[in-house]
Order: sequence, then C-alpha cells, then structure tokens
Amino acid sequence: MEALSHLLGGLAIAATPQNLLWCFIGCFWGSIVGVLPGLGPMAGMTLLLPLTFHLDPTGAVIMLSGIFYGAMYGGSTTSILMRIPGEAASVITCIDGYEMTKNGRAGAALTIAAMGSFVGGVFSVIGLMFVASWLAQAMLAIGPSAEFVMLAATLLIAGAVASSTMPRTLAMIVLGLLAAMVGNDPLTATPRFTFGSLHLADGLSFTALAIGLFGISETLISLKDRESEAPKAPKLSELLPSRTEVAESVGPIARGSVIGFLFGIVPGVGHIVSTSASYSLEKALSKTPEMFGKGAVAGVAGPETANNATTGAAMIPLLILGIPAIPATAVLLAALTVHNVQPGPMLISERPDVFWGLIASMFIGNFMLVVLNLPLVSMFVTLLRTPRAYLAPLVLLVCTLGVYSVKGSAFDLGVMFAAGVIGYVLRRFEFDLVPFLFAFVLGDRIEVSFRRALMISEGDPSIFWAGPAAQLFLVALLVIAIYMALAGRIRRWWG
Amino acid sequence: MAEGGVRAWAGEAGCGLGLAVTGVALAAMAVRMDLFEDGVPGPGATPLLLGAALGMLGLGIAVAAVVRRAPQIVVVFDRDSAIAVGLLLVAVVTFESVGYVPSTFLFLLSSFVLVGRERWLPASVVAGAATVLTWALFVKALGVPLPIGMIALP
Repeated sequence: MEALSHLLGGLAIAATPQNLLWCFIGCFWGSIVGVLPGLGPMAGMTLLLPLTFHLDPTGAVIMLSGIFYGAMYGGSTTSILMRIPGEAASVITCIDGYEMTKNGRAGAALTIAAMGSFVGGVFSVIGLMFVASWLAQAMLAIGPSAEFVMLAATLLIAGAVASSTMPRTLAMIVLGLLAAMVGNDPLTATPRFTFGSLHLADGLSFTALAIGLFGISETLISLKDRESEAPKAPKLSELLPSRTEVAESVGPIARGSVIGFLFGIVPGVGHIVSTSASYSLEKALSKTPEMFGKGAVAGVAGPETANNATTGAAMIPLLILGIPAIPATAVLLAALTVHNVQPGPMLISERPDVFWGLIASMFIGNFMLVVLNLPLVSMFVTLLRTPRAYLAPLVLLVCTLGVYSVKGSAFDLGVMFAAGVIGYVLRRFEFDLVPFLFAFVLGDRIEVSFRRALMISEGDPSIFWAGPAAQLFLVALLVIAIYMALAGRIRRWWG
Repeated sequence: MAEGGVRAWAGEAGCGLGLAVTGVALAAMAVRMDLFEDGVPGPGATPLLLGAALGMLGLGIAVAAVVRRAPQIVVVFDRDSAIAVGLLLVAVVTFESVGYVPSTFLFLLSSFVLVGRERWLPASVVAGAATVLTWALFVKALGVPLPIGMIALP
C-alpha cells in the first residue's frame, strides 16, 4: 500500500505538463534513434544529454529514460520490416519478425511487438517499485570495502560481456579508470594529469567523452554503409493481429516479462542475453519448434517483451546501487550526478520526487509509446529514406552543439574530437568501448571506496574479504574473473 | 592494398603500442605524486598501478598481434571518413574564432558536397536551413549562447 501511495505522488509529479512534454520528447526521440540503424539508445541519450542540463533533475531523468525505453520500442520496427536491428537488442526479433513481414504479417508483427514491449515495460516498472525499497535497505548495511568489491565485480561483468578479446577489454577498463583520475584527487585535492590546465581540474567531461566515443565514432563508421533499402510501411488496417496470433503471443509475453526482469536486475547481462534466453525458451516450449525462423509469433512476442522488461529492471541497480547495469544507464548515471542527485540506497528517501516521478513517468511513457509507435510506423519508415549524405553531417553538428552547450567550452570540443577519432580507430581494430565508459563512470567511486576502506583498516588489505557482503561480492568477482579467463573455452564447449 | 588500408596485425600492434606508451607515461607521472600517506595509498598509488597495468596490457596486445600476424586488410580512413574527420577538425577549431554561423554553414555545405556527393545548390539550401534552425533552437529556444564571431544572426 505504501508503494502505491508513493506511486500516486509520483504520478502527480510525472503528470505535470512540463514533465509530460519531456517524457513525450524522450519517447519520440528514442523511437527515432531506435528506428535508425546505427543510432542506438546510447548515442541517442548522449546526443540529448547536454539539453537535459537545462532541466530540473526529475525532468532530465524522465526524458533520458524515455529515450532509453523508446529506443527499445523503435528498434523492433527496422528488425521486423527490414531485417536490420535498429539497436543490438533487436537482433533476435529480426529472425521471425522479418519472416512474418515476408509472409504478409508485418502489421501483426509490429502490433505484437508493441503490445509485448508495453506489457514487459509495465511489468518491470511494477517489479522495480517493490524490489527497490527492499534492496535499498540491504545496501545501506555495506561499507566501503564491500562497495569496492561490488564495483570491481560490476566492471568485470561489463568486461565479461564485451565483444572484444579479454586483453583488449581489460585495457579499455584500465584506460577508463585512468581517464577518470584526470583532475583533482577527490580525497586530497592533489592535481593529477591536469598538465596545469584549469580545463582539466574538474576532470574530463563525461559528455564530451561519451559523445566523442559513441556519437562521433558511430557516425564515422556509418559513412561506410551508404545504401539502405527503404521498406514499405503497413497500412493501419493491416496492424490488427488475428485471434490465433493473439492467443499464440499471450504465453510468450508473460514468460518474456519475467525473463527480461530477472536478467535486467543482474548488472552487465543486458538485453542480448535476455532476448536470446526468451527466444530459446519459447522454441523449447513450442509444439511447433520448426516454425521458429519461419515467422513464429512467439519468436517476436517473447524476445520483444523480454527486451523492454530488461530496460525497466536495469533501473534497479542504477537507482539503488548507483551502478549502471547496461551501457545506456551509464548516461543516466552521469545525468543524475550532474544534477547533484546521487543514485544509491538513500535515493528513495532523499529524492522521492526523482525516484517516484521517474517510475510514474515510465508507466506513462510505455503507454505513450504504444500510442506513438503503431500509427507513426509510416513516418518512421519515411525517416529511413533520409539520404545518408545529409544525415551523417547533421549528426556530427548535433554532437558539436551538444558538447558546446554544456559549458561553452572549446576545450571540450577538442576532447570530443580526440575521443571520436581515437574511439573510431580503436573500434576499427575491434576494441569494445563500452567497458571504457563503465570504468570512466565508476572510476571515482572505485578509487575512493578502495582508499577509504584501507584508511579504515589502517592499510590492512584483509578488510576486502571481511564481512558477509564483501565475501559475497568477492565470490562473484572470482567467478567472473574465472569466466573471463575461460570464456573462449566455455563458448567452444557450449557450441 | 585498399585505399587507406593497413594490415590488421599492424593496426592492432599500433593500438597496443599506443596504449602501452600511454600507460608508461601516466605511470611515470604518477611516481612524482605521493604514493603513500600514513601507510595507506595516496593520490599517486592507484594511477601508478593502473598505468603499469595498461603498459603491460598494451605491450601484450602488440606482441600478440605481431605473433598472430592477422593478414586481413582493415581500411581505417577511406576517402569519406578522412574528409569527414578533416572537416570536423576545422569546424571544431574555428567554432569560437570564426563563429557559429559561418563555421557551421561551411562545415555542413562541404560535408554534403564532399562526403555526401550532393549537388551544390540543394546542399547550400539544406546547410543554410540547418544552420538557421539549430541557431534558433539553441540560442532562442534553449538560451544556449553560441559563439558570434564574424557573422551573427539576430
């Protein structure tokens, strides 16, 4: 009952005209970046991040979250119509979604994907409401040593699921941690790697780095795929699925909600694992597994639901533990920090307006997306016809404006440019940049908790394995480290 | 060899060496900071440790690339990406000194024509419209001051 009364309070905040507008803009922009191949939620959020600095914290986080789950909705459109995943999480939807399109059931596939996304999104937000308070209480009990081990485990998880080899991933993590150390030392205020420049005293700008690494490098990479085939949009009358298709999607949507939620809570696991797990489960449970890959309704309904349920659940580690479970939430973390809102176990009690306002806005946003996405399919398809010749330079301009608008600093533009070019070169040689960003975002906290723990123990390192919380996280850390070391063999053995 | 292409192993080794040099340089700078204060790590300890780790990882990546000698050709900067990077660099450098309007208009126009291979006239129209619209959005609607430089819009 208490959660419900808080939710009503959150609804009052989220339903103000201003916050509804931010929610709408976020969902709309998210749908667009989800639809456009190459521009995922990460790039979409980083591009609009500077604009959110002019909003109040609740409005900012409502808008950025809208982009996040909006991109998940939008990503299914190109997967179903063109067999091109708008973002990585929609890869699985391509398999049966596109087959449904070839069978003349594009409209039904889009509707089922939208309904599944809606149910998954709402289910995960309800779960978030109930799990968050309980988890926050548990987290209040842990000290800096357990916090250090937990954060280190998070970084390693991010590394374990990265797409590059282990040495490259570790190098990116270490480089990210070093980048986070530029600026004045948080404990002693000693300048580190500032080269006497005042621009670097506060550290490297997250916005400049993130936009450079993801916005600029992504755009440079996208210059290579100049041609893209524009699909035909289904008519509104073709959007209704048949009774059989609805019946076939009920079970997968229910199971996808639970799977997506459970995978979303675990930091680092993310959408690709949850959608794959949902697809595999549906295929295993199906009476007609041979239909998978040929246009099975369950192959669209389950993964799309899991995809959006993961998005909502990923807010739990972000808001309650202050750790980004998936890359896009690292941008949310940065936005909250800029607004002096510290995610963590105290967030619910210290900033209930932000927490409950966000949760309520996610209900509203999920509803908006269903209303937006189906009637606007034609518009999104038209958007896909935008000539690449115009798109790439315009995105580069938005990147530049975005970075400059934060502090009006030409120095940050230089950081953005350097990060963009270095990131582009590293990506050409298959370095995954996501672990870098995770490490950069968490670097400060990792170092401070490490040094604080040693101050408490007067230099005795045994503090890192003293106490049940630290031991639990340490076991997790060891398991992940072993997995990373043996990942190649495990994958080969798994086939 | 393809336009702007390098052997994958050479590129990987280059990236590894770049990371190694960065790590060693940062570790060398960290040595000059306080490493320990009252028996606990000071501001230089963690950067020293991480710099050394990056040095070793970078070296490992470089050595592994040389040993493996992956023969594929990787095109890092083809014509379009090289021009795009060059134009972006010019735009970034001239953003404040020349001002938002001329630098943005010229950046967009040259990108549309040189990278997108569009014709001059439609490219000029789109570049002009985009410059004015973004100025209106950022300066008028959002109140973000953009550098005025040589030519300012009202």
